[in-house]
Amino acid sequence: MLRALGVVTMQTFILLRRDRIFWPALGASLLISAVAALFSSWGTEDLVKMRYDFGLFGFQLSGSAVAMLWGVKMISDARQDGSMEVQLAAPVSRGVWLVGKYLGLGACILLISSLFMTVWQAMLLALGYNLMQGPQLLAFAMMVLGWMVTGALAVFFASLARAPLAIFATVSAWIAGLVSPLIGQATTHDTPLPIRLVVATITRYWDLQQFNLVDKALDPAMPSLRFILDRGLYGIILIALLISLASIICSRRDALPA
Amino acid sequence: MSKVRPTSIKTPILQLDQVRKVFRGDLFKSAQVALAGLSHELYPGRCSGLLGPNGAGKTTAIRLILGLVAPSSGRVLFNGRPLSTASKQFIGYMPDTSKLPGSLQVGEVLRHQLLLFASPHAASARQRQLCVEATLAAVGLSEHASKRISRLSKGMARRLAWAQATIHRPQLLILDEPASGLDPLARRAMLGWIQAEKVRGTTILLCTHELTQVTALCDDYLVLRRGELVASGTIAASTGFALHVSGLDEAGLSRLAASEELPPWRALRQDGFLVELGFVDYDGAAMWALALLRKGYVVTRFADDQRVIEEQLLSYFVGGE
Repeated sequence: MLRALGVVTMQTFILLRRDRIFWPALGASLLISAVAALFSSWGTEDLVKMRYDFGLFGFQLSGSAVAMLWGVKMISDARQDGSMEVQLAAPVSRGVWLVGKYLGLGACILLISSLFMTVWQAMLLALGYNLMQGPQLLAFAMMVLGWMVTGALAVFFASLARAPLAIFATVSAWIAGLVSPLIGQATTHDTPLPIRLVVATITRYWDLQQFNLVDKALDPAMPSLRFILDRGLYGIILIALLISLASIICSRRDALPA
Repeated sequence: MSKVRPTSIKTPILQLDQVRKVFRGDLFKSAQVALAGLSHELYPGRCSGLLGPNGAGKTTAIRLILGLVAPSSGRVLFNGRPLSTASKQFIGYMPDTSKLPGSLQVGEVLRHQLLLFASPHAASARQRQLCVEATLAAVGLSEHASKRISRLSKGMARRLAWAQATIHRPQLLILDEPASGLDPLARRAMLGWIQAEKVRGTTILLCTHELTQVTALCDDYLVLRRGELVASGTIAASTGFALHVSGLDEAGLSRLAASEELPPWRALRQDGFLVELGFVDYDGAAMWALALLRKGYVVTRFADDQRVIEEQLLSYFVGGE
């Protein structure tokens, strides 16, 4: 099983690395870093905060978009070009195939995030700033974990539906995850109880702002270990849950339609 | 339905036992019965032709054998045991079109295939490399090992598909239209490779629309129509015979058949004064030849004819027997 998992992961990693999205994503990261640096040199307010806000927002957007696109595309491409048929005709179970696909996606997200990070650090050095320190690195790592969660979400929907519907569902759920804490805060005692309950439940279990540590990045002190573990485990549990559900669904359904 | 079981005492390598597959309907389409209780056995070392018109259920049958779809009822047994992920290690599959990711390289595909199948003859990295090189040389793709699949011609892609289906030396090889889209030379090479696999003792299930391939390569045949097995048997037992006679037309032949109580012919072709009659068995052809000679007609040819069995197979497609 591990051998099959390794092969599917490796093959997915190679395919994504050679995918047309890879280089534009890397280009976008360069652009974001450059524009963030430019804005910070023009600004009159807290320049460092501005740079981080803009840079992190740009990274968050481009990284999540890449994770979503890749997550859906790799599954739908495999269905469309028939490579899924050939791989599943080999001794690979559908569950292992899906987990391998996700791990390949994860490896590629890690690769692209390390390239993002290298570019950003180089930019900081070039502009005469210090390299990113603990809290900033933690913020970046959490953001990458958020991309992984978004990727798992995309794989989950791609295993259920065709590409257009899967993209739509993924983007909707991603936005819901980003805005759910804001909506949760907006509810008052005047809000009907059922709505409050629904919003509270969504906010509690689906909150992608957990991975946004921009505020902590500017604090020189590292957050507590408990704080880090809470968020890390939350992300890992979400990934495990989404991929497990997708694997179960994939195993119970026919790999190919009529 | 005619059915001739091979005389082998071996146990079947693959057994389909009352396999039924119904694709569930939804709001927009009704449920579809793709296979209606298919039972059949494939015996080791034999080559079986899977035939049938479009929509007969051939693709579904292949997907069931490969475990890509689950049967609604019935069982698929491989070497006497229910088909599992592990048993697919002994199966090779060549799809009808190139179904490999375009951005992978030719050599990579074969290396991954060997790793996936954990082939004992390619356990180490060095052995795998040698095996890949030998396979690429055998199919004439040595110079294209680092070429991306998307840049291969159709013929090259089919050769690669053959290589990836056979590199792990499967016990059962499932071929879906292996020679489709190939030029005559490439087609001949492909048929030669299939023949070589047969000689090696590999069990082959050949799904094709080309009846010539079936009569040339297969030991057995099975014909599906609307999800049902309408005929199966051995090719050797069904070898056709043809005789040529001149001076008679179809009406005359019909009168002769009625007066002499002769068996019906399978095929009739008329070319000027010459009439060619096809029979699925020797006895029928011999009875006709004797009757014609007794009546004073000139029989100019009496010989085996594969076209007759092809006609017979084709007749199953439309409901004849």
